Amino acid sequence: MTREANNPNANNPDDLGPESEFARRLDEALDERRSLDDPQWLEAARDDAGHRELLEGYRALGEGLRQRRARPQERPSANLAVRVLSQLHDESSLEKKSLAPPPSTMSFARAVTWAAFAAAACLVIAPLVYFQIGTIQVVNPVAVKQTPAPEAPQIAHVEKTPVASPVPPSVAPDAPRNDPALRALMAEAGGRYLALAQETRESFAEVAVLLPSVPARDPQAEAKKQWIDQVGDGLKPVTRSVGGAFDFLLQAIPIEEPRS
Amino acid sequence: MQTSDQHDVRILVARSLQGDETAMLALVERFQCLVFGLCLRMLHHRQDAEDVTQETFVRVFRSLARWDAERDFKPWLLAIAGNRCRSLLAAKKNRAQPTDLVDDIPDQSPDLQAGKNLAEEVELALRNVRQEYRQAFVLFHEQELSYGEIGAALDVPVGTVKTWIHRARKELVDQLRQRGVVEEVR
Repeated sequence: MTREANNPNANNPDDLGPESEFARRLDEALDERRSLDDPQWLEAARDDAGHRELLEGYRALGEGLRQRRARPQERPSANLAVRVLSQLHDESSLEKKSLAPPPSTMSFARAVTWAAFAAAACLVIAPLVYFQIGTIQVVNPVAVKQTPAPEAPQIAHVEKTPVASPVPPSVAPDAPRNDPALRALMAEAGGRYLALAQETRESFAEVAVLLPSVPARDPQAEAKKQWIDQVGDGLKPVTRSVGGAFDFLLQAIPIEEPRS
Repeated sequence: MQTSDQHDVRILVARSLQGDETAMLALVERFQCLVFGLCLRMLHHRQDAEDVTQETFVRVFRSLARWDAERDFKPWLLAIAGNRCRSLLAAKKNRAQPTDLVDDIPDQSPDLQAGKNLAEEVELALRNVRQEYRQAFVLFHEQELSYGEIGAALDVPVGTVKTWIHRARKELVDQLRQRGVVEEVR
C-alpha cells in the first residue's frame, strides 16, 4: 500500500511525486474523458523515457477500462420496477391499517372518555346547583315553609331567634302624631306589619316543630343552633322590607300642617 | 441550462407525484442500472445490491416531494443510494457476517479476445487498490458519473473524489508496469 493510501485525509491531487507534472496532464485528459491516442502525447513523451513509460501505462489502463465498459452492463432483475411499486402499495396499505385501530378498542376508549367527561361535568355543576338552590330556599320564606330540606339539621327546641321579634318600626320623629287620620293609617299599617311578622314567626316555628327532636346533649347541637340563627338571619330581609315599605308609605302620605 | 434529458426527468417526477404509476415505472427503469451499478460497486454482493436498489427507489418515491426541482435529479438519487449502501455496510460490519463478493462471481460476459487479458489485468489490479479509491475510480470510468455525482453518492467533497481517482490511476498504472503489462501492449 502506498504512502497516499495510508493517509485518507490527504486530498491534494497535485501531491503525486516527481512524475506529477506529466501525470497531472494525463490525469486532466482522463478527467475530461479525452483519448490518450492523440499523437501530441507521443510527441510530448518522445524525449523522456519515464514519460513514455508513464504514457504507455495510462494507455494500457485506458484500453483495459474500454474493454471493461464494452462488457454487458450489470442489470438488476427485470421486475425491479414492479417490485418497487408493489412495496410502495404494501407500505401505504399498512400505514392505512395502522392509522385505524380495531373498532372495539376505539369504542371502549371512547366510552371511557365520555364517561370521564360526564363525571367531571357533574362534579363541576352539582355544587353550583346545590348552592344556588340553597340560596333560593333561604331567601324565599315560602320555599322554607313548603319544602323543608331533608338535609337540614334536626332541631329540638326553638326558643329565641332574631327573626321572631315583631317590633313595630319607628316612626319619623318629626311626623305629626296628633292627626286622627294619620293615626288610623299608622294603626292599620302597623297592624298589617305585626300580622306579617307574626305569620313569619309562626311559619318558622312550624318548620321547627315539624322536625324531629334530637337529644339536647347531642355534640352537634351547637352547630344546629348556629344553623337556626343563620336561617333567622336569612329571613331578616323579609321583615326589613316590610318595615321599609311602611316607612315609605308614611313619607308618601300627604300630611296637612297643623293650623296654628 | 436544462437539457432535454433533465426536462424529461422532471416531467416523470411531476407525474409520479400525481400518482401516475406508468411514470413511476419509467423513472425506475430509467435509473435502475445506474443505481444498481453503484450499489454493486459499493456492496460487492449482487443480491444485496438488488435489495438496496429496490429500497433506494422506494425511499425516492416516498420523499419525491422534497426533491428540489431546480437541481439535478441524478446526484440526489445517487446520494440516497450511497446512504443506503453505507447503512447496509455498517450493519454488516456490526454483524460481521461473511458475504459473497461480486469479485468472486464468475464472469459470464462474452470472451472479447483482444482485450480480455488487459481487462483482467485491470480487474486484478483494482483488487489491490484501496476500497474508496476503487469505488470512485469505477464510478467515474465505468459508470461514467461526474465528480459531483460521485461526491454525492459517496458523501465526500468533490476534491476528495478527484484525489481518490487520481491516486487509483497512479496505483493501477504502477501495478500494470510492475506486472509487465505495459511492455506487452507496447
